[in-house]
Amino acid sequence: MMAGLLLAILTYKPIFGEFLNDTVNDSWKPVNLSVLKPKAEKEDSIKGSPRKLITSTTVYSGSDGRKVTEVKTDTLLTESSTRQTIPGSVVYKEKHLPSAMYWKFVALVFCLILYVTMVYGPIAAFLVELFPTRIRYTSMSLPYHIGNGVFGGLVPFIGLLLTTTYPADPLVGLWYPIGVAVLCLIIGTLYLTNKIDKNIKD
Amino acid sequence: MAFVRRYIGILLLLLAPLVIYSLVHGALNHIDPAGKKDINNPVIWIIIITIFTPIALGLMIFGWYAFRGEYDRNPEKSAQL
Repeated sequence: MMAGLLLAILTYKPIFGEFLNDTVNDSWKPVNLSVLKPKAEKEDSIKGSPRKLITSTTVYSGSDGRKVTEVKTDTLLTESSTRQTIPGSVVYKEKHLPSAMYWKFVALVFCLILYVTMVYGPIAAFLVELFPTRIRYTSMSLPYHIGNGVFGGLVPFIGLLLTTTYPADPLVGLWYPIGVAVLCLIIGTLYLTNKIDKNIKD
Repeated sequence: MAFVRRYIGILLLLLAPLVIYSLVHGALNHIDPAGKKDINNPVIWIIIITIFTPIALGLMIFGWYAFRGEYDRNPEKSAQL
């Protein structure tokens, strides 16, 4: 259990950093990719303005199996007689990972699931052995449900708060699960024991 | 080991008020009725502060007991509890 927590503390940032680096917008620019589906344009009017929004969609593919849809949103200036546009945002959607990257992601997700099983696997037996029969149900139920419901359930809330408070770091939300894991590791290593009382008639 | 347990107990004792302070400080700084972001919404802050305050108080009590030496020796039999 403690090894799972330690591994999670040490590797959460690098693992999610890999996910982020490989999927961030800039790394999907269609360099050395061929056009699979040519540009399709759509014009939409802007409410309260004579200008129009042009959304152009192009699908690119690569020899390694990579496929990406580029969506450009430009503003068309209707004031001038010639066709002039102000370039807007470029977003890459429907990213199909190349084979090597796909298997790397599978391996990284496998690692994350392994950490969960390392901590969750022994927890039921550990909690049962930790308390005598007369207080076992309360003593197991309370920390288990606080751990799952409160610390686990509030991850999206706290993650969102952290990312909104510190927008410069996209992985800042990870500090909450890492912090909780550090606290559990300290308390579990220093203050708890897994020695069991052989007498079960307590 | 007992020494480490006692002094980590002080850290846990101090961590709890720090968590409560940072949550209340964050709430006072970010709650804004005119704001549009989720962080400006008081409901999220009320939920988080209400839930984490008793947990932090529990951590404080745990730290205090650890500092007093209640965890110097782990029980090995149920009769020792």
